[in-house]
Amino acid sequence: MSQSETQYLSDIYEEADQDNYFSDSTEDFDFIQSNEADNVFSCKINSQNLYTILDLDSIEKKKNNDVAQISVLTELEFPIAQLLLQSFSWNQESIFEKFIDAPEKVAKELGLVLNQDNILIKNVENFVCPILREEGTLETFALSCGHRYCIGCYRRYLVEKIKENHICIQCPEFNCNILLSYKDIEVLVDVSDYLLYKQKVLLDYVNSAPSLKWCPAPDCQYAIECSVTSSSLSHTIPTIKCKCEHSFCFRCGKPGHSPALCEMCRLWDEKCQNDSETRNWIVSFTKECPKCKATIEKNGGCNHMSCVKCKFEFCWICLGGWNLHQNNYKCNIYKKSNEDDSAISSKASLDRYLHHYTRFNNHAQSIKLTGQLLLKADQNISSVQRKTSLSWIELHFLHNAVTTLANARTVLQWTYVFAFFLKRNNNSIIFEDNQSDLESAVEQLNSIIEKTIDSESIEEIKKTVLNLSSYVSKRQQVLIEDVLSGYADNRWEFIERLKR
Amino acid sequence: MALRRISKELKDLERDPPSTCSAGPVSDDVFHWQATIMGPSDSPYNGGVFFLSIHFPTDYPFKPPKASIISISFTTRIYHPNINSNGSICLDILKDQWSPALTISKVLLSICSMLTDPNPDDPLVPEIAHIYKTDRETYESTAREWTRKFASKLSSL
Repeated sequence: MSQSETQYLSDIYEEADQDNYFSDSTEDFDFIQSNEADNVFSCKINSQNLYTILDLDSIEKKKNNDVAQISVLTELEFPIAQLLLQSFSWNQESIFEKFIDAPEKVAKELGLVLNQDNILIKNVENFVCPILREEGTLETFALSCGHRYCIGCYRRYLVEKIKENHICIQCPEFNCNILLSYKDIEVLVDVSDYLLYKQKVLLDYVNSAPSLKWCPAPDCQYAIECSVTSSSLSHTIPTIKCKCEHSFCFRCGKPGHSPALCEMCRLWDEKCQNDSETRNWIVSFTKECPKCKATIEKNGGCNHMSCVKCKFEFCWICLGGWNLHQNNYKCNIYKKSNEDDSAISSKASLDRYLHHYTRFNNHAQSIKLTGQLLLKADQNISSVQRKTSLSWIELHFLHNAVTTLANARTVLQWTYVFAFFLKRNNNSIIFEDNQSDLESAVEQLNSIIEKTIDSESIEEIKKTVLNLSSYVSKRQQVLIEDVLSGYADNRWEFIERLKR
Repeated sequence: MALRRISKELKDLERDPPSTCSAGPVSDDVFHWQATIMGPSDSPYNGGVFFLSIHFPTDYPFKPPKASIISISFTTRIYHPNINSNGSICLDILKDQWSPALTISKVLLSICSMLTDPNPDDPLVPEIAHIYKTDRETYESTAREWTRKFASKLSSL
C-alpha cells in the first residue's frame, strides 16, 4: 500500500472514530498500521505465477481493504459499505456498474439504509413482542423500518440465520427487506455468535473471489490467493503448497498433480474408475518372485527387491533382474510388442493402460509408505548419534531427503498420467529420458535411506545423500519445466483429444 | 418458549377466527394441529373442504411450521400445481421466506390465496403447472372434478 493511500485511509479511520457508533471499530482498521508481510507467505509456482497463503487475519484485512475502498468511493459508512459488498457478492465492478448511477434506487431494492439512525435499542413500556408474545417493559430493537421486537427474540432470530449461513440478514418482519449490518448484529448477539457471523462473512468473501480459495485440507484455515490468467490455463498447473503442508492444484482443488494437466487427471480418474476390476487386480499388493515364485508383499518404498528365499534381486515393476537397471534405468518406457497389431489392439490398449497404471500406482504406494521411511531415518539418526558426537541438526539431512523423495515421487506419479496421453515421437523420447533419469535417481536415494546406516561411513553417506537429493530436485525441476514449456509451445501430441 | 407462543396463537384464533379456515391441536399435543380450509369461492376448489396437518418445530417461530394436506379417505387428493399427491405444499413462506412475525392464521390465509392464484412458475407438480399455463379450462374443470370427488362434504360422509 502506498504512503498516500495509507494516509487517506487513516483519515477515514479518524473520522469514523469520532462517531459514537463506530467507537469500538478500531480493529477493522488495524491493517493500516500492521505490516502485511507478517502473516503472508509468497511462493512461486511453476516459476510463472505467484501465490500467497493468507491466514484468517490477513483475509479479514484484505476484506476490510476492499470495504474501505468502496466506503471511500460511495461515501458510505464502513458497515453499510460492507453490506453493499455482501449484497453484490463482493464484486466491486458490479457495484460500479449498478450502484453508482442510482444509489437510492438500488439501496431500496437491496434493503440498505444509507443513513442509519443511531438509537436502535429502546426500552418500551407495555410492549408485546410479535414473535414470542412477551409482554411488559422490554428492551427492544428496531431497524429504520420501525419493526420492533424484543432483544431476546431478535437474538434468537439472528442466531438461527447465522447458523443457516445467511450473511445478508433481513428484518424479521414478513416481506420487509431491510438488512442488518454487522454493527447491528454485534450489538444484538453474544460474542461467540458474532465471531461465528464474522467467520461466515469471511467464508463467503473467499468463496466469492475467483482469485481466492480455501485450502481443501480438513480443518485447515488458510486461504490461497493466486491469480491464474485464463490464457495460461492450457499450460500451467498452479500447484499450491499450503502452510499446513497440503499440496493441491489451485484450479481443480485435487492434490498436486504437476506435470499432468487437470483435464488429464479427470480423464485418468475416469479411466481408473471404468477399469476398476483390473485396478483391483493391480492394487493387490502381492507379486511372485520371478525366479522362485515365492509370494512377496511389498512393504517398503524401493523397487529394488531381493527375494528372501532365493536371494534373486529384481525390479518390482518389470520383474526383470535388477542388474539390467543398475546403470541404465529403463523401466519406464513402454515397449510395444512385435505381434500382429490389429489382432491385439484391444489387448495393447489395456496393456498400455496397465503399464502406466502400475507405475502410477507404485509411486502412489511408495508415497503412502513415506511415514515408515521417516521412522527408518529416525532410527538411523539415533543409532548414529549414540556412536558419534554428531548433533541432530547435522543428521537432519536424512529427513530432508525423505521429503525430497516424496515430492519427486508425486511428480513421477503424475508423469505417468501425462505419458499415458502422450503420443510417441522424438519429443516424447526426450521426456522419457528425463523421466527415467529422475526415476533411477529416486530409487537410488530411496535404497540408501532404507539401509541401516553404519556410523563409521556417515560422512560419506551424508555426501552421497546430499548430492543425490540435490540431483533429484534439479532433475525434477527440469522434467516439470520441459513438460510445461512443451504445453506452451504445443510440442506434445496426445492420443486422446484433451479439452484445452 | 415455543409453547407460550403457540398457546397465544391458539387464543387469538379462538377470539378472532378467520372466516374461511379454522385450526387447533389434534389432542393434548399442542405441537401438532389440524386445520380446515374451505375452498375459496372464486376458485375451482369452491365447495371443497381441505384438511391440513400442522407440525410445529420445537424452535418455532424461529423455524417455520410444517403444513401438509391430509387425506381423510385413502383417495383424498387435490389438483393443484403447488400441492403434490402426498399433500406436500410448496409455499415460499413455509420455506425460505418464513418470518417469525408470521402466524398460523396468516399461513392458512396464504394457502387459501394460493388455491385461488397458483404459482405455476415454481411448481411442485410440473404437469399440472403446464396444463394451468396452456389450457386453463381443462385445469379448472379437472380441479373442480377432483374437488367434487375427493373434498366435498357429501362425499366424505
